[in-house]
Amino acid sequence: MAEEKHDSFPAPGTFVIGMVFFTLFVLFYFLNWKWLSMIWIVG
Amino acid sequence: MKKEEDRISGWQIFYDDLSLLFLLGMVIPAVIYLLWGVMEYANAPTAVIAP
Amino acid sequence: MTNAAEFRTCPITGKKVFKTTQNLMWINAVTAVVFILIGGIMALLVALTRWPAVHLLPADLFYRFLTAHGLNMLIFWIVFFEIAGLYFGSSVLLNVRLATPKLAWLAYLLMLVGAVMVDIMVFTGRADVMFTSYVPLMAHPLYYLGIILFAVGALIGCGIFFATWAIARAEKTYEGSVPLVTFGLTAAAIIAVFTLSAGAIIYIPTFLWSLGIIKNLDAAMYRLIFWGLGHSSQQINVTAMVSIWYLLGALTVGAKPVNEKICRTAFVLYILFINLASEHHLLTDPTLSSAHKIANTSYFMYLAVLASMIHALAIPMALEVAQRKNGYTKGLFEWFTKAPWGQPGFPALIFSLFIFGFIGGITGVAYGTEQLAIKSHNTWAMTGHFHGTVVGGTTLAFMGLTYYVIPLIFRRELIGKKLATIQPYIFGIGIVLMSLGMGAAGTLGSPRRHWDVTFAVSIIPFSFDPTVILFTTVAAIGAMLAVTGGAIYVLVSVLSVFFGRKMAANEAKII
Repeated sequence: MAEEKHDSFPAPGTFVIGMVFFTLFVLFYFLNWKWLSMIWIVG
Repeated sequence: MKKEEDRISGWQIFYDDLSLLFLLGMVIPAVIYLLWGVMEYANAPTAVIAP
Repeated sequence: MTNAAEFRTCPITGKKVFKTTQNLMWINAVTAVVFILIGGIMALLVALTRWPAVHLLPADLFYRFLTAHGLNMLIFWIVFFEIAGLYFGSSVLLNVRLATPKLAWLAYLLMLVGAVMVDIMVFTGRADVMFTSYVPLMAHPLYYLGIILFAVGALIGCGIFFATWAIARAEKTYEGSVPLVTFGLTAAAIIAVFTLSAGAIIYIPTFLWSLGIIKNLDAAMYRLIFWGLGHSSQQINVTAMVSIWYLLGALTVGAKPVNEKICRTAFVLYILFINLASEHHLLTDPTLSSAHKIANTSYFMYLAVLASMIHALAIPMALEVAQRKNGYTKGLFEWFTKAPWGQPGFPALIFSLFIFGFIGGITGVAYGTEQLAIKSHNTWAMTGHFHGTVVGGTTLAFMGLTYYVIPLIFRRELIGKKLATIQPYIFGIGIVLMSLGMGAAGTLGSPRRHWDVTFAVSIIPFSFDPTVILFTTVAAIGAMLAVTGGAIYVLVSVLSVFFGRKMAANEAKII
């Protein structure tokens, strides 16, 4: 299968979408850990 | 250059081998999820209800 | 009787479409739509019951119709459609006749008889056991037998896919490796064999237990093996959906993956590791060690999550590169804004991708973490997650593909093209509202599989924070939109398949 060769990153828009996705992922993980810590006191 | 195009990479041979992919796709979850889980349940002590 | 070698040549792709393949795709896809109609009516009734302002059904019918909704959607609609997809991915894409068409018809009959048996048992009140049918809840023996027959039929369908692959290889009807879409469907078929084998291991003893032949079934062991069927069947859906994404990308904007090696690697990671995610259903179960839980859901499963990340980036990247080649190079997002939003396939693809990734994927990976599971288990947040994945993701992708299969394979012009174009928007927005509403209400503690979250007739009164009712209402409104979108899909599909203008053999029109 012939593959595309690019001089610069070929999909800058997708990169931005990817970063938004990653940020939301981190935020969701953080929130869920925070909420868990609020209802399950350890120690 | 012609030699490089003709050479099929090991990864492509692996990905094209349906039987091997099938075998691994069966064995890995069967062992790590099913078999291991069954062993844990089988070895769990039975609860005794106090009189 | 159709000659097994009779075929026509697709005027657009040049592929051979054998009459036997076309007929089998037709019957499986049409049957799929019948079951989404049943499941959709159940969805409407269940949503109108969970909506506190309406609270339509009495308790017994709520749980009955919820069982019916789960089975008809998660199993019957999706698997019939996937079998049609497997025949397409093997026979059409590899340019070869389908192996053993007679066996394929037997497979279809087994699936149909099994599904009808299950539905009759559920609707006559002899299987109020929910989709999971956890022991010690016992259904009528014919319920279990129906599922076994359906699974055997689906397994035969997978076998026919592999056999067709083998014939194509032997007769050299394709060069090099199989196309990426076929490779993705191969991954789905391999996962399906594991799934259905786990199903046989658990449903045969459960069937015997319902007959009184086996006296006891361990509830914990049942859960372990059931989810080898239950969640793995969802992984078939994920893998098939991703394959369809690549296909829709190619059909709508001529997208090709930037690096196909990486995409194939991602499918191989699915084959090897995605079934280990089944463990996340057992994270709050006692007895199983943390080692088993963490190894399955936090180590090996993450390799499958890596694969999903690869696909989640590879497909938009392929779309962007194709669109930039098509001349849309202004700024960061002209490729996106000037895409064919007026055709049904592209919005279906984008909604499917974003809903699956942002809503279904993020929540799934987070809730599948061993420690976080306790907070979300048995809440409506779980329901929000899997409606994001299997409804917003898989079902919407299949809907989008249907609008291409009807003209390309069944050679009928679409009736209601405008409806077909707005349908993905209505359905997609509905699912977004519904999933987010469910997730928010569930995070605040609202339970899943519960008839009345106002606890109006409970012996022990309880009331949630009013925001739970607000989010529940948002979810219900989203459900109404989604049901409308689903109804439009059924209408357009049925009208087009049966009454659409028959296209000429050389008519090279897609939509």
